[in-house]
Amino acid sequence: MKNRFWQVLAILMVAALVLAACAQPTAAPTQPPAASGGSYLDRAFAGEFKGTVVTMAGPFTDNDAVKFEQSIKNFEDQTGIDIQYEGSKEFEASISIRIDGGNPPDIVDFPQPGLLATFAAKGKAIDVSTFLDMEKLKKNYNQSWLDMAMMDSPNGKIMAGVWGRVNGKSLVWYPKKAFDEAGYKIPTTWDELLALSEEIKNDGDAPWCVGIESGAATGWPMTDWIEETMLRTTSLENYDKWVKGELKFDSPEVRRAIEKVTEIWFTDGYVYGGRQAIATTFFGDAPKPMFDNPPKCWLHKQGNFITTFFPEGLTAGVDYDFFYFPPIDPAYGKPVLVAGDIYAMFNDRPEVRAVMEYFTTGASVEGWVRAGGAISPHLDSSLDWYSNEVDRGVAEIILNATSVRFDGSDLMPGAVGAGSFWKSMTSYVSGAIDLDTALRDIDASWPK
Amino acid sequence: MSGTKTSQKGQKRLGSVFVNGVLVLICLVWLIPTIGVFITSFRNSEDIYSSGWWTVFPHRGWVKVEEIRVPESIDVDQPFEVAGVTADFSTLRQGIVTPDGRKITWIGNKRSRLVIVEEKRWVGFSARLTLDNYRDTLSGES
Amino acid sequence: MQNQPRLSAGDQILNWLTTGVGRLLASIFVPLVTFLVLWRGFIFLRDSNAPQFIIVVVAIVWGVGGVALLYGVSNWLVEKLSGEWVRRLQPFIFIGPAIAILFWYLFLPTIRTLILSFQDGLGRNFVGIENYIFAFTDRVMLEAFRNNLLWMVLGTGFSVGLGLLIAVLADRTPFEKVYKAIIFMPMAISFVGAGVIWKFVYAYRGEGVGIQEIGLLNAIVIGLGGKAQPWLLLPPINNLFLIVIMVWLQTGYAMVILSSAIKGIPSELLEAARVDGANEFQVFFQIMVPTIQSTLLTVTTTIVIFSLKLFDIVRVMTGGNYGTNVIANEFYLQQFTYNHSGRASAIAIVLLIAVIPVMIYNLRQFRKRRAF
Repeated sequence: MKNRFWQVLAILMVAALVLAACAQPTAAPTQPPAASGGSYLDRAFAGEFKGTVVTMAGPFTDNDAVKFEQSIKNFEDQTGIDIQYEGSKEFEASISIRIDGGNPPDIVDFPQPGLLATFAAKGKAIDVSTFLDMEKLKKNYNQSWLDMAMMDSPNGKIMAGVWGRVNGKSLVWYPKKAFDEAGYKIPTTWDELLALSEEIKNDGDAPWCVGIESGAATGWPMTDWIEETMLRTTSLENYDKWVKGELKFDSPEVRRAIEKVTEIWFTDGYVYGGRQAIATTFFGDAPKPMFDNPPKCWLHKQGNFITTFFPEGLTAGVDYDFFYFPPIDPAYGKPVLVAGDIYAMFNDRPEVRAVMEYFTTGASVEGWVRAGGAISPHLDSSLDWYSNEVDRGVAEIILNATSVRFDGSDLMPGAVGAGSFWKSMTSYVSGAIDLDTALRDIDASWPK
Repeated sequence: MSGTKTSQKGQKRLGSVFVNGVLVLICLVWLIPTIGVFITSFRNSEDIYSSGWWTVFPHRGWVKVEEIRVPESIDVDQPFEVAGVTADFSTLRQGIVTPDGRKITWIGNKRSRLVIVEEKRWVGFSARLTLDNYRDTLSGES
Repeated sequence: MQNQPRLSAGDQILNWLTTGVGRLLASIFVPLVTFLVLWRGFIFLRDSNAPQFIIVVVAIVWGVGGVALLYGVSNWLVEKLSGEWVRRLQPFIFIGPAIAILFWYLFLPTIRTLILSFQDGLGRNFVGIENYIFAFTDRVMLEAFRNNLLWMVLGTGFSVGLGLLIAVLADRTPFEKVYKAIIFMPMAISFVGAGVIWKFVYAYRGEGVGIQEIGLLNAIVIGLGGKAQPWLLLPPINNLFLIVIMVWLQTGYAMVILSSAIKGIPSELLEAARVDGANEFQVFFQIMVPTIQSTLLTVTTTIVIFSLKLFDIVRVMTGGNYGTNVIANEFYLQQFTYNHSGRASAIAIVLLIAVIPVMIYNLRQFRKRRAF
C-alpha cells in the first residue's frame, strides 16, 4: 500500500512535467524582427504587438476611469495591444508597495511628479529618452513640460516620463444661470472678488463652497489655494525656491499667501457650512450646493476636472461657467497653476515602448478631451476637439497665461507634498493647531 | 426557600424585565448604525447628501402648501408683513413658526423674493428608494 | 590477490555508508539532491511557454508531490539509521519545515526591520539612533503614544466591561441567542466597512441656513435642542468617538469568550452562595469574577494587543488628522506616503517591543488554561 502511494506520486509528477514540456506554447515572446523599421508606435499600428498585454495603474476611478478607457480604446482596437488599467483611490500607497516589491505595472500614471521623483531617485523608472525621438517630443510639447519630466536618478538626469492629460487649476466656478439672474458681475481683480463675496454674503448666502476632505489625501485643495495666492503675491523665483525647499514655509512670503486664503476661508459667513465644515466636506461634494435651487453657495475654486463631480444633466456655459481666479498684485501678471498626469514606465518591452510613444501624441487624449474633463498638453491636438466651452476656455487660459507653474505640492517630496503640507493645513483649518505650529511642522518634515 | 415564594417570583419577573430591557437597549444601539447603512444603500447620491437616512420612514415633516412672491417695492431689511407674520429678511430666512402651526420661510437669497408656507403633515415611506447602487456595484459600472 | 583488497575496499565503503558519519552525510545529501531536482523542475516550469492553465496544474502536482517526496525520502533515510540517530533526527524532519518557514517569514524580516531602523529614509546610510529619537520625541509621535494609551485603556476597558455585562445578563434570559447574535454581528464587518457605517453617525454638514444634518449623532443632538458638532474634529474627545467604533466591533468577541467561561462555572457553587444569602452583586463580584479570572485576563490582553496595533479605524475615519493619530497609522504614513523606511522601521520596532510583554503574559495565561 505504502509503496504504491509513492509510485503513483512519482509517476504523476513525471507525467505532469512531461505534459508541461510537450504542451504547445500559446504565445511566443514577441521578438523584435531585426529588419523592421519605424518607431515602436508605427510597428504597433502595423500589428506587430497584436495580442500583447500592457498593464497600467493610476488614480483614475469611477467616471475618470471610464473616460480613460474610452480614450485608449481606438488604440487598442487598431494595434491589438490590450491595455489593462487598474485604478485605485489609495493609489499613492499601493503603488509604492508594488514598485518597491519588485512587481510594478508596466506603466504608472502619476498625478504627482514628486512621487515619481522618489522612484526615479531609487533607479526604478526607465529613461524614456533612450527610445523616444527627442526631436518629435520637442515639436509636440511646450519646453516647460519636457523640463518638468527631467528627474534625478542614480545615473544622472533622466526623462522619467511623458505628460498625458493636464488640468488648469486657477478657475472659479459659478452657477451661471442663477448668477446672471441675481445680477452678480464677474470679478477681474482680488478686490472685486472680495467685494462680490461681501455682496453675496449681504444677500444672505455663503459666497464660497469649500471642501478639503479626500480620505487619506485630505487637505490637498487647500494647498492648491495657497499655491495660487503664492503665485499672485510673490515672484516666480520665490515660488520655485519654495517648491525646492529653499524658501521656508515659515517665511513672510508663505505666511502672506496663507493669510490671503484665510481672508476668504475664515471670514464669518464666507464659506458654506462654516470653517469647521471645510475639513469634513468631501472635495467632490463641495460644489454640489451651487446647483441647489436656489443656490446655497456661489463660487468654487477648483481645477477643470471638477466638472466630473457636478450633478448629472448640467450644461457647461448654461448652468455653470467659470472665470479666471483674479490676480492679487498686478506686478505678478496673470499666472496659471496647472497639474497633470505623467506616465512613467517600469518594464521595458517593445509593446510598452509603443504605448508610451502613443501617449506623447495628442490622439491619446483626444477621446477624453472630447468626453470633457481633460486638457491636452500636446501641440498636435486641436482646439476643435473640446466638446464644450469650458474645456476650450481652460485651454485658452493656459495659453494666455503670463506664467505657468505646476502644482507645487505635487513637486515637493512626498513627505511634504503628499504628507505634512496636507496634514498640517488640515489641522490648521480645523483649528487643532495654530499657524506657527503648522508651518514649523512642515519645515521640520522636509527630508534632509 | 421558605415562606415568601410569591414575592420571590415577583422579584424574579421584575429582574427579568430589567435584564431584558437593558439588553434590548444595548442591542438597539448596536443595530442602528448598520441599519443606517443598509437603508442608505437604497438611496440615490443626492438624497444621501441632502437628508438623513431616517427620513425614509414615515414621519411628521414640513410640507410646502403655499408660495408667495414678495413685491420688489418692499424693503425686506425692515420688518414687513407676509402670510400673517411681520418680520424682516434675516428672521424669515431662519423660518418662523406661527402659533397655528405654520412655518414661514424665505427661500434663497435676498434677490429671490420667494417665501414659502409649510405645514406639519405626515410624510409616508420615501418613494425614492432605488436598487441602482446594487446594480451599479454588481455590474462594475460607475 | 588483487581481488581481495578491492572487495574489502568496497566493503569498507559500504560499511562506512551504512554506519555513523556516512549515514549522516547520506541523510543530508539525498534530501538535498531531491530538493535540487524539485527546484530545477520549478525553474523549468517558470521558463516554459506552456498554457497558463497547464502550468498551474503541473505546479500544484509538482509542489505538493515534491514536498511529500522530500519528506518521504528524508524520513526513509533517517529510519535506516541506528535507533539513537532516528530518535535524534526524526523530530527535525517533522518540525524542520515549520522552523524554516518561521525563520524565513518571521525572524529574517524582523532582523531586516531592525537594521533598517538604524538607516536613513532610503535605506542607504546608517544614521545611528536618529530614527528612535524621532520616534520618542516628535510631537506627532507623542500624540500617537497618548492616543494609543487611550485606545488601550478605554477601548479595552469598555469592550471587556460591556462584553462581561452582556454575557452575564444574557445568561439569564430565554432570548440569549438573539441578543448574542446581534452583539456579535459587527465582528463579521471589516474595519473599513465599519468606517463607512460610522461616517453616517458622525457626519457633519456645517452650520448655516437650510443645512440638514445627515449624521445620526448630530440629528439626535439637534432633536434634543443642541447644536450640531463636527465630532471628529474635536480633539481630544474625537478619540473617544473613534474608540466607540472599536468597542462596537470588539465587544462581541469578549462576550462570546466570557459567556462560555460563565457557563463553565458549576451551578452548585452559585446556588450555594445564594443559599448562604449572597445577593446578585456579591455572587457576581465574589464568585463569578474570581472563577473566570484567567479567561478575563486572556480576553483583556488579546484586546490590549489589538488596540496597540490599531490602524484601520483611524485611517478610514480621520486619516490620523485632528489629533487622532496612532502609532500604526504613523508607521504607515512614514513607510508608504513619506517613503521614509528608517523611521517606519523604528516605529515598527517600538510597537513590537511594546506588544511583547503583553504577548508573553497572554501566552502564559493560555498555557495556564492548557490552550497550548
